[in-house]
Amino acid sequence: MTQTVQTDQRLKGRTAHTPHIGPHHGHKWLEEFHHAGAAAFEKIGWPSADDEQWRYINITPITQTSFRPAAGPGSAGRGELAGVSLAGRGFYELVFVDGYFSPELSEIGDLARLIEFQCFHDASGDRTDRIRRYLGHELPAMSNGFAALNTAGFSDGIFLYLPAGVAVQKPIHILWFTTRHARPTVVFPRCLISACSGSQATIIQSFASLESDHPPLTNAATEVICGRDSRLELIKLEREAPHAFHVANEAVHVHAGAKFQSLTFNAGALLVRNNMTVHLAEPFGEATLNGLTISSGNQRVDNHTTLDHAAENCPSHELYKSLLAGNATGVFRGKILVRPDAQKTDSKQTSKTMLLSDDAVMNSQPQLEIYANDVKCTHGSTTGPIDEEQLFYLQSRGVSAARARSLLTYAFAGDVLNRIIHPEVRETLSTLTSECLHQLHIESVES
Amino acid sequence: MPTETSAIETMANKEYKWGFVTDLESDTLPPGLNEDTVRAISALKNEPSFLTEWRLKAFRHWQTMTEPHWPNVKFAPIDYQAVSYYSAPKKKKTLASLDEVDPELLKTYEKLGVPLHEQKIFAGVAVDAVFDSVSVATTFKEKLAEMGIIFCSFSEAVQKHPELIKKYLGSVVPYSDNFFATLNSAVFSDGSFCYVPKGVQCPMELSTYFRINERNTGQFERTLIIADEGASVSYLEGCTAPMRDENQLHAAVVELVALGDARIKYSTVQNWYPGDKDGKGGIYNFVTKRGKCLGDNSRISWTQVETGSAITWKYPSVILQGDNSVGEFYSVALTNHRQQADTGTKMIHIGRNTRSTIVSKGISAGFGQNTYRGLVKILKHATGARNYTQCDSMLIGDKCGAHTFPYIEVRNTSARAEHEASTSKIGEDQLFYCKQRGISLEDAVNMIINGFCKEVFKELPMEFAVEAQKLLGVSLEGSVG
Repeated sequence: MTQTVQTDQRLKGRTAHTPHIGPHHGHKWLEEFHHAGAAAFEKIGWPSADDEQWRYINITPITQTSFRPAAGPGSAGRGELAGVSLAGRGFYELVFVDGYFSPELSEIGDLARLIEFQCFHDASGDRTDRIRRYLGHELPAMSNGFAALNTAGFSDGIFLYLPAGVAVQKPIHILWFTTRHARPTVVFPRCLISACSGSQATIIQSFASLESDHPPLTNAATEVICGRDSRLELIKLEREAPHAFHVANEAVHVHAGAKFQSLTFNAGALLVRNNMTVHLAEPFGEATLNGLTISSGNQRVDNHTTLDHAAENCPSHELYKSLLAGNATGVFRGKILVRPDAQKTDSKQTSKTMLLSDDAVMNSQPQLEIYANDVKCTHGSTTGPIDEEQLFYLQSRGVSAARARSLLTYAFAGDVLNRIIHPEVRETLSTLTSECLHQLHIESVES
Repeated sequence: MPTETSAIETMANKEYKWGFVTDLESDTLPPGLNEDTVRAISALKNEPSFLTEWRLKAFRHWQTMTEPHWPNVKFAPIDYQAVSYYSAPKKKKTLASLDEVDPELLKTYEKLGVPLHEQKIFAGVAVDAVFDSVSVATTFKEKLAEMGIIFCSFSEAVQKHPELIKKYLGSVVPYSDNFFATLNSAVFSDGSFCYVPKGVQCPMELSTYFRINERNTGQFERTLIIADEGASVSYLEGCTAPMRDENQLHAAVVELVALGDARIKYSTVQNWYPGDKDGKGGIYNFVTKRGKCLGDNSRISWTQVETGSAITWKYPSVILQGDNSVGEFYSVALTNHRQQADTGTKMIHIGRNTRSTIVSKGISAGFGQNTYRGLVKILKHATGARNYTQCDSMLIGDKCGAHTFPYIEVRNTSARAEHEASTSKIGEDQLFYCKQRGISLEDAVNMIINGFCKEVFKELPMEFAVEAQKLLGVSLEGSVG
């Protein structure tokens, strides 16, 4: 990996970066996969500020820090995980420490009887074939610089395979945990989910890190294939340390009749960027994308979603809400793309933001790009403060101003929470939301 | 319904009604652009030195710029050296009355339905007719002059009111603003100028008809409208152009300045040659329009009906600087055949309690691509700012596209920004309902489209509202599916 990247026109003025190549543990295909990722990065490089897709987020804190991959799993015990583990709620839990699977910390229970799950490194035979068939397919390394770096650098990954017709009742929690490091460290979580026809599951991916003098970078990539008539709920919980950087690419392929629903929950990190792409490839697939962002301080949260309607008769729904306090900046860019053959598309997108301080900033870009005529597409976007009339109403009934604010903000978030399908996950996230909002109100009172 | 489709196609394929070329001799500069061209234009127009310098400054800046390609439109590269930057109808002598105007020219206006002499009496509209680049006749001047209103060609204003030009030219759209505005600043030929003094309500709609006539002549109009404190003015701009095969570039700049309590209403009906049904020819309409609500309680309103041009690429904007100022944008953009439109607005909220309303209606038919792109920016000190945006798109036929790219940037917690957009096809049940009651398909389509655009049309001055409805009917006839 030489620094020939600089010769590329598009990379002018950008920090040169040599991609890290992740370990392959003797798997030839993995080695090739990593190198393809590195080659892709050399071609496309970091996203630049001129790039319309990245104009609202300044990634120089990431490009100018020399992040190194973790050499191996750091030491973490149940004590460190206590705040972020969901095993206590009876969920299945697969724990990765610094990108490496930790069987000791995981709670697998009877999961292996229901589905196949596999770290890339241990895979052999049929399972390797399956991984190779899907990996990098929905999220090609060329998608963007971060996807390329993940492809080149992941230390290990998890493959969840839901056999046809299987319904997993309990939620599956995949926890990506970053420990404290003595230098800026990057981890590359990689997750591949294949839900075969008629299968059903709720999967949560959590990202958490310990506070450190050298804030870590998480560069995650998730690929999901929803087979015919499958039902998949995918929740993302981003609860990184306050100074951490978090970039995630999620790509979903929805087959005929499948229903995919997501929730992207952002509560931590200094700089967050989420790219969510859903490809409705066959008729009667359905996608519901939800998002909830609770930010304060100097947090920057940038949510990008693309709903690619490539087949007819696919409904999609999108609801993203943000609560921004302090100096927080929020970005929402949601694109609904309706391709020429995607007739009878019914798509609805809503983005709502509540600004809780004078210094909070929201940039919203709901986009419709429509090439078919028999469609119904709408988007709506609102940005505003807490409704003074609602505050007054509550206060006139004896509710204190602080309590009224907290009620109204919770109700605002509640819209998104109520959409969560799995009741226990809904309950878990409701509690988490209350905690985050409580923290937000404390901070705003202090400042 | 095959019969419906074929009826639709006949309607959609109607040729451009206003295509004709007038034979007139012109003073035309040879094609090409360099500092000498800029100096020559300035000299031809006998301009004061500050303006020549300003043009040169713009030209030098333009040389450092590159043509932008970010919008959602595609066009063949423009050879800026192949364009002739000045063209004026030959003058025999100074014209004292309409009788002395070239009869050919008058005929052109008649074909366009703008008989100057009749209009004087009949519509109460003062017309500053721009034929290619030089104003040849101005009416109602005296009546306006009595009230202290200055309404004349830009060149005349440069000669007679250089102090106003010096003060306001480039104050809203600076010479370095963007590629096309900078080019315009260097080579603008003529345009309209209007100044309404303090407290004066302009008694009539002011109007200019633009026509691109000379082959290979880019039109670089420059319009400047100033409403002084408490003044109000309504300005109409309407365009048609003759049929041509080569693409013609139109890079105009319009600047509006509204001082305290002033109101400016700017309405456009644009029906330039859109190219034939295969997308050959047609006008490139790359225009920079911007208004500045400089004073408190001022109001600027843009209304546009865009049915022509091969490519329409413009964002009439309002800078809401004064407290309580109001910006409005009402737009109907129609693309048929191979037309492309990337249009919308920018509302920049700077002052307190500033309000803006955006209503945009896009209609795409044939292979047309219609994009709404708008920016609502509420800055930190714009306490109590309010925006409401509504973008609706209608799709007619399955080969066209409708796109919405709003940018909403809010930096003040007390501000409220709302954006709503919808896209749908023309209602088959509505068409069926009308036809069932004996209304022809053509009429039914017109009714539905006019209903769809009603919110915008009602903002147009009477004279224009009628014309706009007809225009939409003509441009769209039958493109329903």
